Amino acid sequence: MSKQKSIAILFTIFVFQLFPVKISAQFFALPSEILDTANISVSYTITWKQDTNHLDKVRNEEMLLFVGKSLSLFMSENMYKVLLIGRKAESEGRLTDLLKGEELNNYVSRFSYRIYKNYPKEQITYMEKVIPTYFQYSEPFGVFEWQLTDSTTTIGDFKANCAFTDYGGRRWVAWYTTEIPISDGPYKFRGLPGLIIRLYDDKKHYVFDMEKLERYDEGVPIELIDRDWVETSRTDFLKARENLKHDIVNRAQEAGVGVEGQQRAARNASKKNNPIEF
Amino acid sequence: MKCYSGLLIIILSCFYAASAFSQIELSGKVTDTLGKPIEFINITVFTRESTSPKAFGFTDGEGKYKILVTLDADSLDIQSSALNFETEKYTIPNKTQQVDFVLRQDVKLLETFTVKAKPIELHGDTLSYLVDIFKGKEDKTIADVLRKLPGIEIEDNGKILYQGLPINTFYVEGLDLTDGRYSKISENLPDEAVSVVEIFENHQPIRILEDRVYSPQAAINLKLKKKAAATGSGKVATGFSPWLWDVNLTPMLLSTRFQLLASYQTNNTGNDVSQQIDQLTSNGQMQFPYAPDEKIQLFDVGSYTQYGAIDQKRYLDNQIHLANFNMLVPLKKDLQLRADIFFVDDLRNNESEINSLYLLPDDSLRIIENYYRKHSRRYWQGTFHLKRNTKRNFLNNQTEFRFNEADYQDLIINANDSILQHFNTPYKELSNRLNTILRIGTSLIEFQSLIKYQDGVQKLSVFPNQLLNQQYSITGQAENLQDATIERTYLDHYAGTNFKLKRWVLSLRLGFAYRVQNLNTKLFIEQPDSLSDTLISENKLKASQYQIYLNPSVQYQNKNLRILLSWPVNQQQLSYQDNELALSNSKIKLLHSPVYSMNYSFSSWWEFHASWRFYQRMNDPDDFYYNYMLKNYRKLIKTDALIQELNRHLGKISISYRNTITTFFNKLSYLYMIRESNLLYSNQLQDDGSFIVTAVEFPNSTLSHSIEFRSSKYISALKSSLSFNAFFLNSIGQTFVNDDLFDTRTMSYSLGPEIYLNAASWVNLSYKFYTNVVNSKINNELRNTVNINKHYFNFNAFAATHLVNLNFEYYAYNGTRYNFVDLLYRYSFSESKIDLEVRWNNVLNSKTFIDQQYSQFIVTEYVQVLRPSQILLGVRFSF
Repeated sequence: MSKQKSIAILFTIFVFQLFPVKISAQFFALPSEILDTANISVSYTITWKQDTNHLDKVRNEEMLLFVGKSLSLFMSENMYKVLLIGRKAESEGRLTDLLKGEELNNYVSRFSYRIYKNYPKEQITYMEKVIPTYFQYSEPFGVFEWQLTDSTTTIGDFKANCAFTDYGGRRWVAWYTTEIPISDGPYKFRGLPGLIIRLYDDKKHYVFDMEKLERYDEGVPIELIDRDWVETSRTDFLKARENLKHDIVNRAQEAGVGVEGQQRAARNASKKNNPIEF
Repeated sequence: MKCYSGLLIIILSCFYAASAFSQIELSGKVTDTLGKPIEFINITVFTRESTSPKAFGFTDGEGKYKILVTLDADSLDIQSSALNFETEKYTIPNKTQQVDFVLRQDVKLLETFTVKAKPIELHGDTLSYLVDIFKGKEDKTIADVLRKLPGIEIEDNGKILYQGLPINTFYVEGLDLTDGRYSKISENLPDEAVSVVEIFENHQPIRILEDRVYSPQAAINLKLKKKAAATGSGKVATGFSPWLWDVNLTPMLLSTRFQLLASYQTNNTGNDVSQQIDQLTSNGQMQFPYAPDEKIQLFDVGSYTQYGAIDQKRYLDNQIHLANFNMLVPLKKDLQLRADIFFVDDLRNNESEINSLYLLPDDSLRIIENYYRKHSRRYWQGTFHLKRNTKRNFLNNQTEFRFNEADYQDLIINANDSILQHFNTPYKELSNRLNTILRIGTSLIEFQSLIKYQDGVQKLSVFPNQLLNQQYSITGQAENLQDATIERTYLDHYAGTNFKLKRWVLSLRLGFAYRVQNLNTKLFIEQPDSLSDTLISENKLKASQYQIYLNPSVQYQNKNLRILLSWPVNQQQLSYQDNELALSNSKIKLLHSPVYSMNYSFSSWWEFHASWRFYQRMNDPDDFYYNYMLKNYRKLIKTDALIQELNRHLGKISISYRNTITTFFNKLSYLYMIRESNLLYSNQLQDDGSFIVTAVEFPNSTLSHSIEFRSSKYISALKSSLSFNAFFLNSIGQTFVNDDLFDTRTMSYSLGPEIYLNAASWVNLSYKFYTNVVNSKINNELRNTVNINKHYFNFNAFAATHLVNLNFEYYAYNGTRYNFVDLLYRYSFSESKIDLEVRWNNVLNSKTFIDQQYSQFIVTEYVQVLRPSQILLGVRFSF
C-alpha cells in the first residue's frame, strides 16, 4: 500500500461521521474486554433525514441492540459486520486483500457510535470518534423522564403503548410493548416497562422501527474496545462534533487529502445539518 | 339538615377528590425462590379498565422498588416482568402498601421473530420483479427503475441498498463483470434492455463460505430481454484555443455468454488519463518488495518539471487516446476468466528553459539551455484473472503482459550548440501471479508466487556530442550511438502466516527469489567523414541474484501503546560476470533491515511516536557497468569498482497535542537520515555541463535532519480555522567533482500560515502564504540563495445545483512574479442526471512558471512554458 493510500484510508476512518467510508485495520487488531454476553439481539431500522434543506431525502440503515444479562450495546449493524469480517480476514492473513478489495464498500455506516447501557451501573455510556479523538461520556438513567399515555396500537403482532420524553432538543414518542419484558430500546432510549419497538421525534426526522428479535443460543460477546478513550461530557462532545464540521477542510488537509477531497468533505459536512441531538 | 347535608356533600366531595387524586406509594422487595434479591425487575401498575401501564418502576440492587401512583381506581393490578423470570401479577386495593414478589426462573426463552411481515411472498431467497410493470415514461436507465422497487434505495454515488444494506454483488445474467464498480452498468444500461430484476437475499458471493458465513446482504441480478444488449454513456467537452477536446465514452455489451465494458478517452486538455492504469496496477509492489522495477529504464531520459510543484494540467501539452476493455467469459461453472486490457497512445510536447548552476569549491558554472521535447508513447497492457470460486478452494491467478514503446526527440539549445537527442525505449513484460489460501491444521497459510520476464532493446543517439571527444581523441562533430538490450527473469515465491495471541500479533513470511539478467550495451561514435561506426565501449554483463528471506514481525497493542518490531533478514548472493572483458565480481551477504516503531498516547490529547529503521542492501543489478555507458547527452557512466553496499538509517520522533474539544491541534516532529555507502561517485564535469561518472571505493555518508511543526486552531466566533506550518531541513554530504572532494550543505527554511473561513454552510474561502529560503553551502561557504514566496487564494461556493470554484495563485521567485487564475462553474440538472461544466484555465494567460530543485552541488531552475488561457465547456450524458 502506498503512503498516500494508507493516509487516505486513515483519513476516511477519521471522517466516517461525515461521509460513508471503509473501515481499516486498526479496528480489527485492537484487543478488547468482554463485558457481558448477549443471547438476544434486536434489530432496528433507522430512517432519518440528515439535511433539513432536503427533507425529501431519506436514508436508512440497520442498527443492532445486543441485550446482555446486565448491560446492552447499541451500534450499527454494518460496523459490527466489518469488525467480524476484518477479524476473520486478519486471522487468515488476508487483511491486505480485504483493505485493497471492494468487499468493505458493502458495509458502509453513517453511525460509528456505540452506546452501552448500564455500563457503568445505571449509566448510559456513549462512545464515538471525532477526528482524531476517541470520546466517551456517560449520562445517568434518570435523563429520560417518561410520560405514559393511554394510547395503544398494534405493531406487528404486538400491542404497543405510547410514552413521551424530551431529550437532546427533541420531543420523542416511544411505542413499547409490555409483551417483551426488556426495558430497553434504540439509541440511548430505555427505561420503559417493555421493549421500545417504534421510536421517533415529533418531526419524524429520526424514526427507529424494530425489525426483528433474534436469539443466540451460544451468545454473542458484548465487547468494549480497549482504546485510549477520552472521558468528556455530553456538551463538550457535541461541541467537538460541531467544530469538526466547520474545521473539516483543515483536518482533511492535515491528513493529506487533496483539494477536491477537502471540498467534497466540506459539501458532505454542510449536508449533515440535522443531528439526532443538539 | 340542609347545612348538614351540605356539609356532608362537601365532606364527601373532599373524600372523593382525595381518593381520586391522592398519591399512594407502592413499595416492596423482589426476590427469587431462594430469597435472593433481584435487580432491574420491572414493576408495572395497571388499572382494571385499561391495558396501558399507568405507572412503573424498577428494582434496585437490593431488589427494592418504590412507585408513586396517583390514580382514580378502587383497585390496581401490579405486575412484575423481566427476562428470565416468570411474570407475577396481583390485584391490590388502591392504597399505600408493600407488595413483595417472589419470582421463579422462566425456562421459556424468547424465540427469534420478525416484527414486519414481508409484503411480497418469497420463493426461496429470490425475489423477481418484472421491469415493465415498474417502468415509467421518465425512466431512462435501469437505476431509475431499481429506485422504485420496494426495499431498494440508490445513493448519490450510485450505491444500491436493499433493505438499507448495500448489495454485495451486481450480476448481469449471473456474471459479475465489474467487481463492485457496478454503477458503470446500472447508471448506463437502458431499462428497455432488462426484462427481470432478481434480488437474491442473504447472498454469499464466495462459495467456500456458503453455509458457513451468513450474509445479511442481497445481490441483484439483471436478466436481459434479448440475448445481448449494447449501450453506454459519455462525457464530452470542447473549448479553445487552439481547438480542445475531452471525450470519455463508455459503451458496453452484455450477454449471457460474454460481457464487455469498454471505455475510450481522449483529450488534449492536459489530463493524463493513463494514470488510471498506474493506480490499478501498482499494488503488486507491496507483496513482492524485492522485485525489480516495473518499468525498464536503461537511460536517464530526465523529467524537466518537478512533480507536484505545479498542477500537470497547467503545462502538459498532450494528445492522448486511451482505450480500456473489461471483459468476462465464464469458462466452467466455477471458473471465470476476466480480462482488463488497456491501450494508450500519447503524444506530448514540452518546452522549457533549464538554468543549472554547478557549485564547486573555487568556481561555479552556469549553463542555460532551451529544451524542446516531443515524447510519444504507445502502451498495451492486458491482465487476465482466472478465478476459481468453489466450495472447496479459492484460487486467483493473474497473468499480465505489457508492451511499451516510448520515443523522445529532444532539441537542446545552449550558448554554443544545438544538440539533437533521441531515445527509443521500448520494452515488454510478461508476468504471472498466483495466490492461494490453504488450511493446515487450524491456521491458514497463504502462498504467493510471481514469475516475471522482461526484455527491452533500447537506443540513444546524440548529435553532436563533445562528451566522448576528449576521452577518445576525436575531433569534429560526432554522433554518439548507445545501444542497450536487457533480458531479465525474476522468480519469487513465499508462504506466510499470522498468529494472534491476546494483544500480540506475530507474522512470518518465508520466501525465495531469483533474478537473472543479461545486459548488453554498445557505444559507437559515428563521425560524419567516416563510413563506419567506431565501437568504443561494450558491456556483456550477466548478473544473477539469489535471495532467501525471512520476515518475522511482532506487534503489540494496548489502549495507550502500540509497538511494532520487524526484523527481515535476507541472505543474498549477487554476482556479475562479463565474458567479453573476462571480469567477474561476486558477493554473499546476510542483509538486515530491522524496523522498530512505537506510539504512546497519554493524558487524553497527547501522543508520542518514535520509529527507527535500518535498511541494508546491495546495488541494483541495473546500476552496474564494467564499461562506459551513455545515459543521456550529458552523462557517461561506469560503476565497475566494487559491488555497492548501502546502509540507510532513518529515525523519527514526533509529539502531538490534539484537543478535539477546543480544536487546537499541534504536531512537532524531527527526522534524521543517514546514508552510508562504500562507493563514491566521481564526477568529471565538462565545460558544457556534462559529466563522466565513475565509481571509486571510498566510504562516505550523507546526513540530513529536518524539523517540522504544524499548528491549527478553529475559532468558532470567527468561523475560521487558522493554521501554521514551519519546516527546516539541513542536509550535509560529500561530493567528488573533478578530483576535488568537498563538503556540501543545503539548508531550507519554510513557513506557511493559512486561514480557512467557513463563511456559510455553502461558501468557504481560504488563503495561504508560503515562503521558502534555500541556502547552498560549499565547504561551509554560502554560495547560493533562492527565495520563493507563494500566495494561494481559493473560493468555493455550492448550492444544490450550482458549484463555483475560483483559484488564485501568486508566486514570487527571487523577485520575479507569476499569477495564475482558474475558474470552474458546474450546473447539475438534478432530474436528468446531466451535468454542465465550464472551466476557464489560466484566466490571466500566464506564459511561464518557474521552479527550482537542488541537489548536493547543483541548483537547477526550470522555466516551464504553460498552456495558454483556455475555456472548456463540457457535458455529461448517457446514450
